[in-house]
Amino acid sequence: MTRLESIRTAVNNVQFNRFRFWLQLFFFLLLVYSGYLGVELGKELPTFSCGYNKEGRAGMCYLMTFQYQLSWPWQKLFSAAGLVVLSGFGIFFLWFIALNKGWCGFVCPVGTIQDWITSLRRWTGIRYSRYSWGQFKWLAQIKYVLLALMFIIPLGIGAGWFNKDLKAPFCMICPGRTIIPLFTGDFSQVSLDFSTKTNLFMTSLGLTVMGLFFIGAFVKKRFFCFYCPMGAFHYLLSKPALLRLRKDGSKCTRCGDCYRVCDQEIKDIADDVNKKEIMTDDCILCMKCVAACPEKGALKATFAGIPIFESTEEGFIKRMNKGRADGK
Amino acid sequence: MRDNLITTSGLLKQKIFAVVLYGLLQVTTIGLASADVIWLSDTAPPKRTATTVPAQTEDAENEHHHDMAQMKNVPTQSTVAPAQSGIASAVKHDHAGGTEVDVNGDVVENSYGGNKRIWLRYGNDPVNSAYGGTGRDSETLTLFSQTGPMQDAVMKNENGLLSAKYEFPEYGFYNAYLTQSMAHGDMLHVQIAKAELLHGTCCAKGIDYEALAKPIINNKVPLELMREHYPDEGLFTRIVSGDKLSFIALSYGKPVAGATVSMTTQDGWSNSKVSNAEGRVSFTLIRDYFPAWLEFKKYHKQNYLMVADLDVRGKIVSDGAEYNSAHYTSSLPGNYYPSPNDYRSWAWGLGLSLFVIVFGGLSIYLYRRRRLKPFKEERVDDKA
Repeated sequence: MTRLESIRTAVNNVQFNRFRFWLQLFFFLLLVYSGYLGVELGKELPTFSCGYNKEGRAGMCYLMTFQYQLSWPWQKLFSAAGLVVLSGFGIFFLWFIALNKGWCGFVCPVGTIQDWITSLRRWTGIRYSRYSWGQFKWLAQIKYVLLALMFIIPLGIGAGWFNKDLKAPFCMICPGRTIIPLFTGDFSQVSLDFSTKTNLFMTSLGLTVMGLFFIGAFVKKRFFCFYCPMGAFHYLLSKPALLRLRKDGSKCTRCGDCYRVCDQEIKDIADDVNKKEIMTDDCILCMKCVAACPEKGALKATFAGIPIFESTEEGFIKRMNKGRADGK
Repeated sequence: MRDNLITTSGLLKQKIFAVVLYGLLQVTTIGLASADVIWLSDTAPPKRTATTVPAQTEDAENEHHHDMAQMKNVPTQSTVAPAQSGIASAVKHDHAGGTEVDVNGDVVENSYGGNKRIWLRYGNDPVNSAYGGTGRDSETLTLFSQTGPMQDAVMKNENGLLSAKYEFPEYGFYNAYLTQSMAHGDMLHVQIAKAELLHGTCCAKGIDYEALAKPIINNKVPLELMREHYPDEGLFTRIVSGDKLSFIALSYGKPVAGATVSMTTQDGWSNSKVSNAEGRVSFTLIRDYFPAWLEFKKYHKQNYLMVADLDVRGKIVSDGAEYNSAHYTSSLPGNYYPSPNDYRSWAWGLGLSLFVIVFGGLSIYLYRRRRLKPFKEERVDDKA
């Protein structure tokens, strides 16, 4: 066995959930606290490094920057100043292209918090919920509606159609705004703003979403990711991304393991044996399906076409036997 | 007896003379102290009035400020301190402090930008003080940054209004000073208009906020008020009503006791205190913004004006001339905003969140319980 093969075997046999937990924790600490150490990754991050976490954040969620820029007066937006928007989008795109929706599965602090809440539920022994197929189909459209509103409302503000209090409307309902600052001791976002009717409505909506977030994430894995416009935005741009999820349908036995471990309940991952690019708009590229697949090479993650993690029988058995007293 | 009467009468006359003389001196001093305070404002005058003040109005108004005519280096043919009544009355109704307002009725926030423009104003009212000039085409504005003196800026006279533009490319606080001196007999009256300017940022990284957010002290002015910055004050800190502001009266960079310091807020609330041995005075910014709910603006910028007065007795030499006493007046404007406590409620916020969590949790619990099917044993007889 060559050195490269031995590395590949070690990676394919990795205790994936443990690895992912530590990686998520690393990114959480990086994005929520390392601002205190002067880390600055810019304002174009394709993940919820919330700008309302003023001190601790290491960079800023691009949705916040994007919405503020879109709300510029049209005269400014459609002038040379618009190049600033384009350059910002370019940086966002470059960040995104590297990890694709892996930003959601491994980096996003809001996603990580949901995974922690799921762990808490599992610890209490309460069973989780799943959507019916009918519910899944129509609820999956909500993120596109939110994405469309995220464009339309700021543009409308720039045109003078909407009140400026609606600026960054998605941020106002994003649970990241209310929850992430709590981790640095900032409770200022957990309040209702009575200054105007619009602010009162938006902050009420934001805190309602926060309440639903805690309940939803407790009973449903990655509850909020299903409605996240960042995920929809990612999917629209995902064609040239380097990190990809591929499936070899000829090796799939349709055992359904991948579907059962999928936090997003994506049926296509098990049912579709024709597509090679199996990532859908709801996928968060968490790779749990790859780790749960017992068929060698049926599912694999590739980076720039190079397989970096693929399903193997050996890896599957090792992961299934984790925690057994005999270690076999 | 007659001699005694003459002596008594003489003494009485001397006493009356002394009392009259003292009274005249007091009146003169009070007159000096009550001369319009000059201060530097970052609030633009309304354009329509600023450009249409006729020269006659300016001249007529100047007559009411004749006591400033003795300012040094002021050409005699041009009377000074043209507090323009037209502008003053126009500003009187501008309760937003003259700050520009956009189409949505929001105050355009420019307190933190690097491009600054300041105007000279007269009076101790943050809203109604008149805009004006000194009668000269330009005045020198001394600038200080954290690292020390900067290149002076020039305040230019435009349509009778003195203003200066300056760009501060680097983040941080800057101090601007305009000093005016005038002689009144053997008394020197010096007015120091100071402004603390901020090129702020909420978000820039890699900046030593602690170092840049410190107040600046000028060791060369006879009197200045320095606002003590908050321990956690950065470059985007908002002063809000309810805050306690502390100022230190400094003379040539050292704290001075006994200076009378007054604060006047946007709606005319005023208070006066005397600096203690450490030169310190503290004021709590009262809430004086009470609009109807639908008219409330949380970014409503309000101004306050600090004025410090200090009398110094004894021989004073200034620009080669000797004086027996001096009266120093120093001004420092600032701005503040409504407190978040006026429009934000944590209790309602937490209450709403908890309600959603409890109501949602209960709904899910009941939904799940309703879907539970009771245990039903079914026995199948294989032999049947």
